[in-house]
Amino acid sequence: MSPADGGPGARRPGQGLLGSLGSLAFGLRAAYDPTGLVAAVADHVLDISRGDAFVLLLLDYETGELAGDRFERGRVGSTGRSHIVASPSGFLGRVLRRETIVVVEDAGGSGATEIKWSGAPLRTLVGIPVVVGTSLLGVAVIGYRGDFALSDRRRRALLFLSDQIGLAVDRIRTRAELDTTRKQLEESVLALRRVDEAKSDLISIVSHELRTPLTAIKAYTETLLDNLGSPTFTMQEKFLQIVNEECDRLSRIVNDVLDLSRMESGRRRLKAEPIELSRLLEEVEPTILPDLLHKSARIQYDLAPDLPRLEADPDLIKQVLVNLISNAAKFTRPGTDVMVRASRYGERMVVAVEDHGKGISGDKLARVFERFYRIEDDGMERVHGTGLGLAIVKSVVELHGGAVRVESVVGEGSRFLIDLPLRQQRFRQLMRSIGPFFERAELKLLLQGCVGMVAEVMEARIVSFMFFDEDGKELLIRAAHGLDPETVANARVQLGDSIAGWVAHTSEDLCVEDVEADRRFRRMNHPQYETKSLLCVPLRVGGDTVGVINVNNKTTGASFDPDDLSLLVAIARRVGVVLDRVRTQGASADVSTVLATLRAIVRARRMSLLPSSRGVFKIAIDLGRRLRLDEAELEVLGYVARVHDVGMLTLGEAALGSSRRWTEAEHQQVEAHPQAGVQILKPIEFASKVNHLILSHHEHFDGSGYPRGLRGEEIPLGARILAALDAYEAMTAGRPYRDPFTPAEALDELQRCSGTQFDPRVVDELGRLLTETGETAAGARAAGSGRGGAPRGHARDRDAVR
Amino acid sequence: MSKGKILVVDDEIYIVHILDFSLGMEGYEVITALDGEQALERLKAEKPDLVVLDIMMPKLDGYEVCKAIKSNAATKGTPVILLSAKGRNVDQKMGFDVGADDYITKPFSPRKLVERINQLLGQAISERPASSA
Repeated sequence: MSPADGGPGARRPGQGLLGSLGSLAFGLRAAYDPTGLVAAVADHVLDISRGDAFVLLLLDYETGELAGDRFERGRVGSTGRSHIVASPSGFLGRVLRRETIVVVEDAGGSGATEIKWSGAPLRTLVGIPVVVGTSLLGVAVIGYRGDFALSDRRRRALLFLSDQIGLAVDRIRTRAELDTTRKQLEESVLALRRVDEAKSDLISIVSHELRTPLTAIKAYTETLLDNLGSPTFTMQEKFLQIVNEECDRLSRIVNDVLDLSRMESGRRRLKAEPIELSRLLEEVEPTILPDLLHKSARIQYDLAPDLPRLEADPDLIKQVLVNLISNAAKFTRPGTDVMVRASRYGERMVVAVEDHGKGISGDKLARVFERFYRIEDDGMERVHGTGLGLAIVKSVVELHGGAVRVESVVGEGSRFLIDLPLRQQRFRQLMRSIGPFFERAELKLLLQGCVGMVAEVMEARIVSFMFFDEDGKELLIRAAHGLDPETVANARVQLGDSIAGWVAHTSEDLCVEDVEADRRFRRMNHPQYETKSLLCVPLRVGGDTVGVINVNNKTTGASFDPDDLSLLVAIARRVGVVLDRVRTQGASADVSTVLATLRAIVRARRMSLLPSSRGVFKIAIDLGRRLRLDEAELEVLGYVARVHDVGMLTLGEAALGSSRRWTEAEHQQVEAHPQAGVQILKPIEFASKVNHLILSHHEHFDGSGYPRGLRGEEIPLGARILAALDAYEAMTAGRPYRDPFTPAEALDELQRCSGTQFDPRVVDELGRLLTETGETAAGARAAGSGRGGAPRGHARDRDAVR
Repeated sequence: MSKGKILVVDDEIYIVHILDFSLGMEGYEVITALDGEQALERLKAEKPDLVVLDIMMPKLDGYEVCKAIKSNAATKGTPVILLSAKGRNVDQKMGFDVGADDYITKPFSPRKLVERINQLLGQAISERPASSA
């Protein structure tokens, strides 16, 4: 007997029900990915259920989207793939929310059109929730061209079928997750181990290198002191000279190590400008002179007559030349020449420095650019370098997009070559690709949208985006909020100068609480910026700093603090992602969608849907810190606390702005707002953690929440924090039809739902936090109350006090 | 009259100079070497009473030189003081494993090194009655 008994037999000849079940079971066991699984069992499912069409829609936890391949009777393989964001009141939404079988008759005309079938029209759709344990994996949909009566027996059979599929999907997913996690862990352990080894190697080498001059200083000073009174001791001057020399050596090593680590960490941005090599060499020669005189050696130049200018950082290239030429002077034989040649090869310049020394043998040649590697030489007086000279040469040249090379013939001498691009093209190309944002109307609008969003989320009156010019020397304001057009047009900052120039040069995030008290920037404040506190962070596109975001004048008049900085960093990353996506997609970029997202955030904040700064944001960060989230997680939590409720906009202003209670349909939309939020934010989002938090902030600790029914630790800690804070904030802010709770009353209410709706650990910690900050003192007005008395229409009261 | 002959081996010329000065003031005759190979040549030619030996040196490191001294019957009794910037326990242990009589880490006090040398040579000399210390 078929479990879906009734219709005419469509089973394959020669295969009974047992056969079908057997094939199904085999398919379920053998599949190794969900797509393969569905393909393997689709026929059997159609067979057993007597259906005409089948699709297994699996829920993507990160986007809230349902997706799956469609199968239809009589067609081989998939007939296409569906991607659906379920509307809460639609057919699929009903299956998901109620977690029960939903049957739709007359499917064509009843709104159950989310799935686009390709074959003959289906009359009946049966949606079966796929659930394993407490998690909802998706919906299985079976379509019938005719009528379908859902008897108890059929219901049981279909649930059994969906259970089996669910278990198989769960097994496959768990395994894949474990595999990925294991691989990621293995990779990160290896990477960490390599970094750790490199670090401890470096530390032991550096500490040895530092000990060497220190040893001389200690030995000479002690001997000097011991002999101070002795009339026969005449070495005072000589000893002091040595101590002095070794102190210099010590500070050279420290400086070199610092320079090198700064360059290797990529924190230093080039201050490139066109330079004439001959000019630079004139400046270099005096510093090499002592070495040359010592060897009675001379320096000879062979520079090509048509040598073009080289675009590079003059200070760094000067250091490269000093290091190479002084090295050559030290190694060349007394009385010989050190040769410096330069010529142009296409768009590159090659500079060679040659000595007439003993040469370097092959095994050592490969190691000369290593840090602290020294070429030891017979009978030669020990060269007092830092051992870092050539390592610095290599770093600087590579930072310019060039390469280093060394050639040597033992007994004749060595030649070091640096090959540099004439122009810093890569950066120029990057800036050129951003150029359209300053020229094309719709992209200018997009940039302006970003500025507006930053101003709104940061609650700042003045925000400006500054970008480099193509040469990377000057910063110009390309979009601004709250600045007069004259200031925008005239603002020009040199790389390295003033606040923006410093941030652009070092790529460091900056929070100044009082610009007049901060000695670094004291003189730089502009009268236009009424408050003394400001934020400035680098704006990066694809890893390169292309400019900065300046944020001044908090609307509240207060100072910015490190938590605000961390929020701005999170937003700057998203702005960078937007610019990068639009830039790389060129003409095909969907600018209007991104713009819609930016505007949605602004609109949601203006309607006070999103928490205000001193409310949820601040407490969320404090609470996260107490519950030991790390800095990266705190950054995500802070950002999500600011934007997570943007999905409420789908409710429409009519419902949001009114004081009436919501209709059933509106409640359904409220329940779906986490998914809607993720969809709205998608064009500017790149971190799955953000989606994960937004999607989970209405889950309940006991598993009774939505949309996925996660429970306990399955819910990300950040989402558990937001859930409690949302409720607290909603209660203390009050409703048009209800007086606000005092903080103490709200906390009582949270405690009543602790363990069911909320994580007890979060509620306890929140209680302690509020007690310590004195918020729960009787009569205290709640944090985060709405602006200008606008109705804070939201279902939060329903969530909080069920 | 010299209190004894000491071989100082270090690739840092300033260290060699200061030891030459301090030990010279104390009445020792000082001979020097700037690397491990030179040290072994000097050892053979000059037969010093004690060796002060750096570890990290070009060509032949201090451990190797020490091993060579202690495995040769003619030089086995010559005290060796390792003087090194390598300050970890394993480095010291390795020093004593190759037969060093003492291990002093850099930066060091020349005064204390001289005291230690006096002590070691005092022992060695008292075992050699013919010596005229």
